[in-house]
This record gives sequence, structure tokens and C-alpha cells, in this order.
Amino acid sequence: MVLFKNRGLTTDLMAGETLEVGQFVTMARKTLINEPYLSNAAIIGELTKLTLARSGHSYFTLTDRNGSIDCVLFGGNNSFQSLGVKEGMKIVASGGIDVYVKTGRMQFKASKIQPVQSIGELEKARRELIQKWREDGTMDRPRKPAPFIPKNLHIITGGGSAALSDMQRLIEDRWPNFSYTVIPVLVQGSGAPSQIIRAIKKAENLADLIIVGRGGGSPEDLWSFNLESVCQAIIECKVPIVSAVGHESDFMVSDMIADIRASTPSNAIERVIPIKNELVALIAQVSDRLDFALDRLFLQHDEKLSNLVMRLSSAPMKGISNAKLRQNGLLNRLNSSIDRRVIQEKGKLTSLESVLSSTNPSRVLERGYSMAVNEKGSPITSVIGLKGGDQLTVVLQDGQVDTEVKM
Amino acid sequence: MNYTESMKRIEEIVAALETGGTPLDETIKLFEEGSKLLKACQAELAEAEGKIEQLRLEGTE
Repeated sequence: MVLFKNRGLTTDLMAGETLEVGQFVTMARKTLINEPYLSNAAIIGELTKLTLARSGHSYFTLTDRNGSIDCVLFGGNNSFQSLGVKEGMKIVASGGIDVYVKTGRMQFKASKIQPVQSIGELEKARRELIQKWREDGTMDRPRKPAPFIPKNLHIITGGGSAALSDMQRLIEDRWPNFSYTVIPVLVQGSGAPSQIIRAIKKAENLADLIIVGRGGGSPEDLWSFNLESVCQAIIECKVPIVSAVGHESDFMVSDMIADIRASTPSNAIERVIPIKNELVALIAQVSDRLDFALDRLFLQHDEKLSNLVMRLSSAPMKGISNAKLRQNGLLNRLNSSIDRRVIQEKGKLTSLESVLSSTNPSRVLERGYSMAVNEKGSPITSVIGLKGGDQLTVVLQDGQVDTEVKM
Repeated sequence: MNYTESMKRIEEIVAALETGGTPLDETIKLFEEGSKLLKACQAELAEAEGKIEQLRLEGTE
């Protein structure tokens, strides 16, 4: 047998040779345990028989429709008890093939067992997790807003996945040459949770925004994003983190506890990467409006200022013209009062004059009267006291004659 | 006497003259005083006006 020869175990043996049983079984064992696919494997099946020995070792049988194998997990009793694994449950056992030489019995020597939960069980765990985080306030904790334009976006998703290429195409559409980092991880299967968690821990020290997610798939495929460990890493993430898992209808626990929930990976990009052209247009528009507002402000101040200048320059002249008016008024009043006084005085003189002139005796003489005066020039006003021979002078309008009184 | 005081004095004189009753020689004296003060105030005002014109010219340069 080529297989044996290659292993170099029994080069001196020939096919068909008679061997001792122990020798035969030992050879078979060596061959099997040196086969990598058999010595390092994980097998899944229903736990059909379980014995927890006093020694602490666990003996059990895994069965499925087509086969069955006895297994041992040395010192495995604690594992079975803490994981709550019981007969009838589906489990994954990791380890390798072995043969018990004394009995020739083949068995699977497990190093680790892991229960495989049914969707019903997973769903129950998910509901309990949501309930727990509702009650302790984790769901209501304040969320970190995404930066307006992420400077250092990290995308954690399946390397080479359709979701990734969708996101990359969309980023290029929205903002050509936008710079970001992709951390490729397994997004399904048993290795996915630890890879996702490690990627988040790594990215949170470098990024200002993280998108973690994957495209659509079966509930089992998406289940990493319902796990407490993965969600806890999202909750503890120091920078804003977007959960973008599956299609619109898929609603993960990670969606409920992330800072930002995107319905799909593409939706995550739409939410966090602005459209560059729109932004440029908006900036131009805002800039125009700013210019306009500034212009208007300056114009308003100009108007106010020129108005003030006008008032300032006209104000003193207004004062001057008011003062002039006042002075002219006073001048008029001064002149007219003095004029009036002069006229008044003139009037007084005129009336005095007329009174004087009306008493002038010469005016009587003009009318044909005459006046007799004695030698002393005193007017004779009565006949009493006159005697014949008295000399009188008769004064007429244009002269006087001497006369003698006859008695 | 400053401008304001002068103007006040002129007002008083005009009021006295308008009321009348002062003797003529007193009236003439008041009239003379009023006229002189008024002339002085007009001169002062003209000077102020000139100064404002000047300032305005300088402001527009």
C-alpha cells in the first residue's frame, strides 16, 4: 500500500503478511492520527449518549442520519455542565481521530465541544438580550452622531463581498476619490464574531466613523450581529459606529444598539457620505447669500452715514438761519418801535402847534375884528374905567391907528 | 457780553420800546444800545456761518 510506504512506517512489511493484532491496530492508529483531515477536525452531530465519568472525563456518542462515532473529552465534565449540553442536543466537537489499541475501537478524541443552537434557541437568546439591554438602559443611552464628513472611515465587512463592492461603488458615485479603509472579516460562521470584534477594537483607535455590516443572508448567516459579544463591542466602541446588516427587513440587535442604524450597507453609505457636488453647490449658495447679506449690511450703514452727514452739515446752517430770523425780527421790532415813537412825538407837536395857532390873536384880526390896547400895550376888554380923552391904539390886521376916546 | 447775553438784552430793549412810556432821550439811548448790540450779533453770526462753510468744504475734500 502506497499510503503505508509513504508514511515510512512499515517499509519492511509486505502486503498480505501476517501481523500480530496489536501490531496491526497500532499501525492503523498511527496511519489515522497522522492524517491531517482526520487528526484536526470538527464534527457536528446529535449527542445520543453521554457518560460523565468520576475521573472527570466525558464519554459520549455523536450521531447523524448516516453515521455515528464514540467520543471522549478528557476532563470534559465541566464543559458539559457549564454549557448545559444534554443528550438530544446538536453539538460540534473539535479534535481528532484516535484508536484505542487494546480494544481496537476507533473514537474521536475531542479537545472542545460547543452546542449548536437551533434558530428557536437563538431567537430566545436574542429576545433575552434585547430585554436585558432595555432594562439596564443600554438601548436608551445617548448615541454618538456621525461626523459631517468622515475623515477616516473604516468599513468592517466581508472582504470581496457584494456588499463591499456595492458600498465602494456608491462611495465613488457620491464622492470621487473619497479616502477610507476596509477591514475584511468573516461575517458568518463560527470565526465571524471574534474577527468582527477584533476589527472593531482595532478600528476604533484609528477611525472617526465605523461601518460594520454585511449583505443579506439566512438568519443563521446574519446571526453574528445578534450576539452579545459582538453587540457589546459596538456599544463600547469609542467612535460613532453604523450597523448595516442584510436587507431592509433584517433587524439585528446590532441595529438597535449601534449609534446609527442603516437598513442596508448601501444605506449606510448614503447616510454618512455626503454627495460632494451637492455640498459644493450648497457652499457656493451659502457663500453667495453671505456676500449678499454683507453687501446689504454695508449699504444700510452707508445710507445711515450719509443721512447723518447730511443732517450734520445742514444742522448748523439751520441754527444760523433761525438765529438770522430772530435777529431780523428784533431789528424790525427795534426799527418799527422807534419809528412809531417818532411819529407819536411828531403828532404831539402838531397838535400843540394847532392849539397854539388857534389861540393867536392875529388870527381874529384877520376876520375883521380889531383890538384896542392902552399905552402899555394891554388889551382893553371893558368900557369900565375908560374916560373921554383917553388915548388908545387900535390894532388891525395890517397895522395900528392911534385913537381918542369920546364920552 | 457774549452772544446769548447780547440777544437777551436786545429782547429786553425791544420789549421796553414796544411797551413805550420811556422818556424820549431814554428811548433814543435804548434804541442806540439795541442797534449796536444787534449789529454785533449779526457780525458774530456771519462769522459763525463762514466758519461752518469752511468746515464743510474741508469735510468734502
